[in-house]
Amino acid sequence: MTSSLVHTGVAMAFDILQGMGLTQQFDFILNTDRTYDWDTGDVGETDTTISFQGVLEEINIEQETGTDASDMLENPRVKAIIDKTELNGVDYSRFDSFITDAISYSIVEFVDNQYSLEITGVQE
Amino acid sequence: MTFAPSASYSQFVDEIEGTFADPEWTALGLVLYPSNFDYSDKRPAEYLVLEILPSDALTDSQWGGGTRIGGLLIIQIYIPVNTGSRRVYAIADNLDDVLQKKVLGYNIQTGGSSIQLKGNDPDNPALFRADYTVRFNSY
Repeated sequence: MTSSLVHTGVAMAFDILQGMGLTQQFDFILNTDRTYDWDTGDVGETDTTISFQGVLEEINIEQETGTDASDMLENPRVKAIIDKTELNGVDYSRFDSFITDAISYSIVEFVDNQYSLEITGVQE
Repeated sequence: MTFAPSASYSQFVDEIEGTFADPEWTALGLVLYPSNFDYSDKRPAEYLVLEILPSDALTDSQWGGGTRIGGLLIIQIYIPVNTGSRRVYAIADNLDDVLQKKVLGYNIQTGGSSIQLKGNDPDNPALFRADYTVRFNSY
């Protein structure tokens, strides 16, 4: 089976999930663009946001063996699963955090299996 | 005979950095950062870093007690490796146009320039570094 067939299959799977209402919007915030004002010495920062549909998976304590349970309760983790073809060449390593369901998460891990991207975030 | 008023380090830095806000400089389109500026996430293929080293500060009581500051402007030039060094000299010519033998506020006067080829950047092997240096003095 060629990789393009797998890509197509993964895209279809995400389409089906979207049709079932199981995907949601993730707003990823890219590392800020920093500028320097040579007249005043002020440093400017501009956030850039890019949005994708994806699947939200909540990570429970049992899945996080070896993790301090109290830390998990205070700082819940979730995983955003995105169809990689949706990224369309965007450099995801510049993602700094994401917002979904009006909750902000700091990104702590990326897992890229070439077909989907799993992004783990800790609630801020 | 009149003498320039004393200037603090901050005023000297403001004056020198302000040079890079002038249209004559911005029109060149060169990417310049100050030292101590986090640009690592989006480091371009070619850029410059400004260092101001006011190494010769002294108060001259003989000339009315004004503070005279001298030192070096070093502009680190980063270009892609394996592209030869001509680009370094082209950038140095641009820098000469705005920095060499100029008179700025507080009677800051810049002298002639020099270039040192430093070799590959140890922090990023994709970049080659050269240092463009101009001495300055205030009178």
